[in-house]
Amino acid sequence: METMQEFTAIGKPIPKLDAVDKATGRAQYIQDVTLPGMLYGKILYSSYAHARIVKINTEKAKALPGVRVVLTGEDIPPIRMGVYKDNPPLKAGKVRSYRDEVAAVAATDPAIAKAAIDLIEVTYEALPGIFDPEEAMKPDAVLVHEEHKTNVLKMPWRLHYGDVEAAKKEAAFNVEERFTTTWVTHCCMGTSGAIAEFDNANNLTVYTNTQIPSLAQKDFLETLKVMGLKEKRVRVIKPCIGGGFGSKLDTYAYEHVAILLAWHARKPVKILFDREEEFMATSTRQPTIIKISMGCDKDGNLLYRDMEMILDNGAYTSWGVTTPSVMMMPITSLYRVPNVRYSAKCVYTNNTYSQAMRGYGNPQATFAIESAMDMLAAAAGIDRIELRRINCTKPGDVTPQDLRITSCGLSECLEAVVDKLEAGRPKEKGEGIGLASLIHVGGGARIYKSDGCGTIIKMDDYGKANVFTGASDMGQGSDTVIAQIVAEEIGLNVDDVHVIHNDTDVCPWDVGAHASRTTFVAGNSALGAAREIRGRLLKLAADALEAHMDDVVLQDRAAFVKGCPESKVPIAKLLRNSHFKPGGQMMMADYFYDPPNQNMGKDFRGNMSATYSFGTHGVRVKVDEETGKVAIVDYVAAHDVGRAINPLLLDGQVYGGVLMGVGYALTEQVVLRKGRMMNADFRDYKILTAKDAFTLTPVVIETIDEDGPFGAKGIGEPGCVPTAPAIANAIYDAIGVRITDLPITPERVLAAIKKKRNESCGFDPLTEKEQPCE
Amino acid sequence: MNRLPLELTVNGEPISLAVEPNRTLLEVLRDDLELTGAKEGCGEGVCGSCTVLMDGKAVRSCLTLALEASGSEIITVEGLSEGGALDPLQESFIEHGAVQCGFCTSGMLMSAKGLLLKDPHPTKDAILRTLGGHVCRCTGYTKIIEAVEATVDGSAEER
Amino acid sequence: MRLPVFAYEVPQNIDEALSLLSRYGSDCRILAGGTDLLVRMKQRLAAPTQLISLKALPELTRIQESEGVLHIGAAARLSDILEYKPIQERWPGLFEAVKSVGAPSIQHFAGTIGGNLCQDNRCQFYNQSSSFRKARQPCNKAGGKTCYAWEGGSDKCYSICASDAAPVLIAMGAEAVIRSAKGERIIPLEELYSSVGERPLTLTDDEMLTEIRVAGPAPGAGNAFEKLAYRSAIDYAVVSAGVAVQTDGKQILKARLVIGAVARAPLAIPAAEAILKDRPAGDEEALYEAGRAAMNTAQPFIANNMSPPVDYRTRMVSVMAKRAIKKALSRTGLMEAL
Repeated sequence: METMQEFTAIGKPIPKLDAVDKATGRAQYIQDVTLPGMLYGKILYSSYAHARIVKINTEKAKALPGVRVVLTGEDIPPIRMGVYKDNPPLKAGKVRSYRDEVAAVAATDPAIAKAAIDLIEVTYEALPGIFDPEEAMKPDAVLVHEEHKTNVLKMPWRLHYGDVEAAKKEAAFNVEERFTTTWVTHCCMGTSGAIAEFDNANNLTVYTNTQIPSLAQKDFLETLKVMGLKEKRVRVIKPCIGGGFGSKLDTYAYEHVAILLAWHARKPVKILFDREEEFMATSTRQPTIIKISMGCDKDGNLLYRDMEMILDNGAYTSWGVTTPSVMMMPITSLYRVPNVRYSAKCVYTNNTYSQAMRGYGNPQATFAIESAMDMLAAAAGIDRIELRRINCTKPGDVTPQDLRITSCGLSECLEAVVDKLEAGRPKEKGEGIGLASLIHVGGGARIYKSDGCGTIIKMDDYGKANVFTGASDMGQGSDTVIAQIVAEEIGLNVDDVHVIHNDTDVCPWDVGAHASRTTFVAGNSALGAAREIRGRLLKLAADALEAHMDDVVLQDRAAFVKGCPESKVPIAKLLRNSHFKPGGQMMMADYFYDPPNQNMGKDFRGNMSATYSFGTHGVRVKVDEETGKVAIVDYVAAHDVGRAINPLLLDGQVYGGVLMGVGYALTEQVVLRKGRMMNADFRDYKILTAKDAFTLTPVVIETIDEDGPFGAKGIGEPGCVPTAPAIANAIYDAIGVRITDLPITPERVLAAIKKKRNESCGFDPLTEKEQPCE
Repeated sequence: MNRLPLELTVNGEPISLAVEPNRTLLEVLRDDLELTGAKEGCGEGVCGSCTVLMDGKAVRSCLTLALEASGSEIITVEGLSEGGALDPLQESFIEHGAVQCGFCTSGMLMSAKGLLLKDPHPTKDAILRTLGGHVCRCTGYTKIIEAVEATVDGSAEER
Repeated sequence: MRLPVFAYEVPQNIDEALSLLSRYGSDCRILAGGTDLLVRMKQRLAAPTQLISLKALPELTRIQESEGVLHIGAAARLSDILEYKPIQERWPGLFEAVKSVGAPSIQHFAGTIGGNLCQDNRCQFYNQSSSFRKARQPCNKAGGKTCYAWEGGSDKCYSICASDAAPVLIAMGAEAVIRSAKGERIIPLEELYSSVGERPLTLTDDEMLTEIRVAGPAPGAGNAFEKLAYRSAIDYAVVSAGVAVQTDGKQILKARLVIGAVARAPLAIPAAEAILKDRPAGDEEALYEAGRAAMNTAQPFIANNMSPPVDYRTRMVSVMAKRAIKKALSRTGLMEAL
């Protein structure tokens, strides 16, 4: 169906539309927004991981000049946040983690607000905390939420397709391992913040950093309802966002607190996080304990995959608890595997709670799966690349979970990596190579009841288009991709298209910027609206040119008859002629696109995405066997993206995703000691720097997806999915040790080396002797 | 608290203010002069988003007392494009896709500018060392490094 | 993050600075680059009521070599030290140490050698925000009566001196010039450090470090610095090692090894120095033994005050020591480079 079409906008490396504003300091982030009369809010957090709040004395804070409002959990109506509705924006009676919000202040100046917070006296009665999810599952464990009677959440994560037990008996080779992954966090450069403002009729406007304007609007409406403000309007305005990566996929306490403070103060209230708050009071990637077993027959055909997980839920429940729904995808469908079993338990602890983060569970699951693939290859005596070839997912596959694989370039990705990484090249001492692949949703992901996105296009009299999209740009470039799609379809230049994506009063509904869905879903939505404009423009042009519609070409801001570009009529003129006449019409179109994917059924079967993205990463590492430090020598990342609508922005997603993934593999971790974050700053939370960047070769495989806009699929998340197992596999190749815990710190590598050599694992100061490893 | 006189030049314009000693250059730029291009990403001098040029050298404005800048010439990202024409670094960042969320961009630009003012032909290592003091979460740095390299005269091989 | 309230003065000459120091005493801090002090003030770990700016004292920024001795003004910028060619050639260990400090664009234009040497000790339980610290009893260093970095608590403060420049300067026998309104004293650099975590410097309230002096290496001498960090920039050392050796062409006549980032002060390893003395310069076994001695000496000091585990840091002492000695020896012109 795809012809050798010449595109004018699609496939072009067009710089991000707002890049000039950002490179000149004009772009306005929440940090830069102030409203007349605005007050500054500040939150007091818990001093304990788990404690009863005995008494809160706010008198001194209230007496401080400049303080307008002081609120505690006792002062607010029963608002509940999150998927499990277990999280009030200000806690009353009990705190369950150090990030628990205990009180909040609004004052005329940020320094006064901070001083007031310091004057609030809270008397706690400490309770024993529970920080290990396996301990928390025991029957006599301390309860985080007494009313739930147990720390194990009633979540249904359990599937079994085929017969895993029978397959285990049949398998010629089996492997089994336990993996763990820990908390990591988004580290958006722009810290979180919100401004809430009520009008005289108690309608609410919230300026906030969000990836989900429409769902945030819904959350805020619910909060208003609980506050007794029914049938009010909520408008969400999204300033320029300094990075998202999933962190803004749920509303946070600070947004609801800003609303409450603004309501009591009758003034706009801004809450802006400092870096420490950004680290400790926004939600992390879901930590996991993973048990995996996998087996194949004597020829290397995978027979089964069996996985069990324990997820440390933290003290409250946000999207982290639903990451198993996405983990199911690689578990059931990364490579052909006929028998699959999976279960996951989410457990309350007094740790921080988790949320969405780039990959949404996929990096954790893929770490275990792709590490186990290498282990299985070794057990079966089959080359690890060959094992992946044998079991490679192919177009037309229907996986055990009923995922319908349409376009699929996994095999091409694998071969490209083998080729570019020169897998056969001789290795120096301490050097090794590793590979890992991925499957990810590439055509939306139906987690919510709608996976849709709306677009409105308004043409003006001068041939320019305003595109109002539900999609949220947070730096990834959806604004630009949408402009390219619209420009291509209606024959405009990209800079004739202005994309508005920041205001729920004018932008249609969208479920949110997640699941790598924006290019596919918002792109198809924009394409749908643009097609309608195109049809009407063609009709106007056909009349003006006295030609048949099918013969008219829209290109370069003009319409002409195919083959006669010299006698063209400007699109602007067509628009004006249609407008300025008796009974004239302005040209507008709207379109709502909801992809043809399915909610998962009772047994979690269902084609959750309209199409899937694939990729393979390959890495060459060098391990310093004295220090355990791992250096990346070379990295190749091949991705099946359907079509590269904008190669420049596509590269940006891959480079950024891979470096985030390498950080996940090697250096990043939120260090919690009994629930307390020890490294809430950029010195001690080690995201990689430009000095750590390495040679990365991105490879783009275009499979031209039949359902994607111009054939495109999602690429926002895949870049960080297979990095950790690729690196772990390369380390094994280099020095023969299997690292099963993330991050792969130098001390872990060194301990593994010592253990393998049967050397001592540390110096015991008491005996003044080396002690053996385990 | 006593305010002390502060005289300096910001983006070519002489400025005369009275400020408290505990105010940082970043606060004065953003709050008093409404130059919000420099960002506070961490407030502890680590992330580099607040970098501006002080007498041609890149400094962390969040860890520079405003009074320490007294008598200096400050250039912020707003002053990088003279008379509306973009600086070659800005052009290069835009063209190379070095700008994503944009929060780190002004700091990266100002540090790179400081480097090029000191040495118009920096080595790749010098570029990496300069950018190594900045945190970016979107780009993986590659495009930023390329953007800076592209503005350096002479072929990369020779350097 | 706002700074607390303080008064600010800019003395126009050193005598004026010294007289301000003696007037304000312990309420006063010297502001040079600000990269250490201002962060601690933002965290409310320091709350001086008076800051004395060194910005009008260019004489404190001078770097010069005279009669084979290198003089570095305490307020010399790290970036200027890196650009002073003789340091690269003759004091490569110092060059490496300064180059490894933090991130170039953070510390180098602002940071000074005096600031690096006089930075406060660090600990993962101490260098935290006020809201973090509010949630627990203050530790020894914060005026309390316990230490969180030592299992079971301690009446001593187990913080570390994180200076990258100190170990190699001490190994090279550097001297510190210290002045006050009362006069001047010149001490070996190691005597700047008190080995008391709560108050890691021996300076009195009215004194200030004004200059570092270090003699040039004689023929057959070499110096080097090694640092292990998890990242290539923006990182404090997990362990660092500074070394100076003197050989006669065949044998090691004298060696000094100082380990950084493990103890309350830069930690000299006399045992390693004794092992290395009179050993052939190419004796690999000697390096191993010296590394091991360094590890054994350092081990009792290493507490849970930084995030890498204690046993790992202990082990890395020997690796960094070994590598630094080997590199220093390679620079004596007698050994093959690494």
